[in-house]
Amino acid sequence: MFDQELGLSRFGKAAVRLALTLTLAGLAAACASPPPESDPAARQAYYEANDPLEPLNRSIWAFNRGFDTVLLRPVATVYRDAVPSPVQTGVRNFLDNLKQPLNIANSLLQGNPERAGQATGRFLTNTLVGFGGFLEIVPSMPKAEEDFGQTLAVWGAADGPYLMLPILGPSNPRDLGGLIVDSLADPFNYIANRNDQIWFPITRTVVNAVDVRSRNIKTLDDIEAQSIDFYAAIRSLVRQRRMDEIRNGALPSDTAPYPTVPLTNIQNDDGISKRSVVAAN
Amino acid sequence: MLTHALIRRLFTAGVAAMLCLGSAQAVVSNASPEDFIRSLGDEVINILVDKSLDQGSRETKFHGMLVEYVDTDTVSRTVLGRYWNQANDEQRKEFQDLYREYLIRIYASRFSKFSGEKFNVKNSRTESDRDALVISSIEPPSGTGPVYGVNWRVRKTDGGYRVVDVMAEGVSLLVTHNQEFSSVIQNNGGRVQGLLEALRKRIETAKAR
Repeated sequence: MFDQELGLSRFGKAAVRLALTLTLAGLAAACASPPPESDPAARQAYYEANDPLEPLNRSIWAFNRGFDTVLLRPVATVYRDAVPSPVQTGVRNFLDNLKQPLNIANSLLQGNPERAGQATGRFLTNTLVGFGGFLEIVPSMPKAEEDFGQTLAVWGAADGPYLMLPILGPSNPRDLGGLIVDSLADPFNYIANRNDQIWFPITRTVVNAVDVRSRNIKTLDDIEAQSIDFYAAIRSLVRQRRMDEIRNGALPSDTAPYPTVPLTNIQNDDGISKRSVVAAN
Repeated sequence: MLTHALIRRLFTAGVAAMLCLGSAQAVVSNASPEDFIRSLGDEVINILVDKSLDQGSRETKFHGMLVEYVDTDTVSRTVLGRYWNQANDEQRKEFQDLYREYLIRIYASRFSKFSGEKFNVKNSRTESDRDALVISSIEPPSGTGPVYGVNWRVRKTDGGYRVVDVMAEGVSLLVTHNQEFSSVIQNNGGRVQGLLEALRKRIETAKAR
């Protein structure tokens, strides 16, 4: 099995297995069958979208949007507009700081001790001198924090089909596995759970969701206003952003097929358009 | 006396050097993709800071820029992807017109609020014999938010450089629209006509706002 090749921890194996089971269950329950071979364009589009659960995913997406409209967005709006901005910054710093042990561990697992070292120094300083991380003495690193889904990607795991999780939003089997491993491995949640302080992980998750949403109100409104298929636009954006996070914002290699879409040539003399893949040469 | 002569000579040499540099720079601005993107950025900022423009004339100016700076032909073909070959001439023409208008409606409205961002062009990378990737960033006034990385895929054409794709924080406009539009076409029974109708509707709602 591939999880042995990946050298996953016991937790990791369990998480990946759980993710796979969930996926298979989902597949069995609501799999859209591929278009018939007589329709090659539709077939190609189907495989490119890599979203065999699209009908199920779209209904979960509709549910999530309802939840967002009724609860999350209004709360996040009030939070953004009514809570003094130094408090918002403090909360955000505190939540960021809580993520640092996982960031450090995943940086190490990805073979990036330099990043892990920087994050460790930052975590210690902000925790000890910055009142548990409310004050950000050492500023955050410019690119997204590492998580176990990214670690799996660096180890060579493919993302797999698109998954829309209830409440949690867009994901895929690899990142869902990563999410489960991260939440099991998180030391703060672990200590709280062991001492029956279940309020801690719950509060943390809720506040984190409100904080993230409050910083994305404008962006998501814009994307919705601009798109003609909001679900498909988000699916494409989320995947591209995730690739960027995995590369830590570095440019994709110039030999990578770009941009999975061939940049077409101008028509040749007899007026027939010829297509060529620019980056493949 | 000697110093005067020397200063005069140095001065003349300096002016001559500046003139030479000046003309050299004019050639360079024609030759480097970075300078091409720099002038694009300057022009966008000039339109945005011009308080005398209303939204309508701003959109007209952006339309002019789109024609001048973007290879809209390549972009619209690529965005339509495999469906370009399926579409008939009439549909292709209609898609190109609608897509151009869609881009202007969307991005002109998005860019109408300018709050003193800085546009820095850093360097470029050669992608193929005619394409280059220009690396730039958009920096909000200090402390008001994160710096965004924006990369431009620039193609050398007979008429000079043209933009063929923009990538913000790793998200390509071309890839996103290609995938989104493909989904719209598939959900309309594989008909390009379905996409054209959806685009037309979106442009109408953007006009109404």
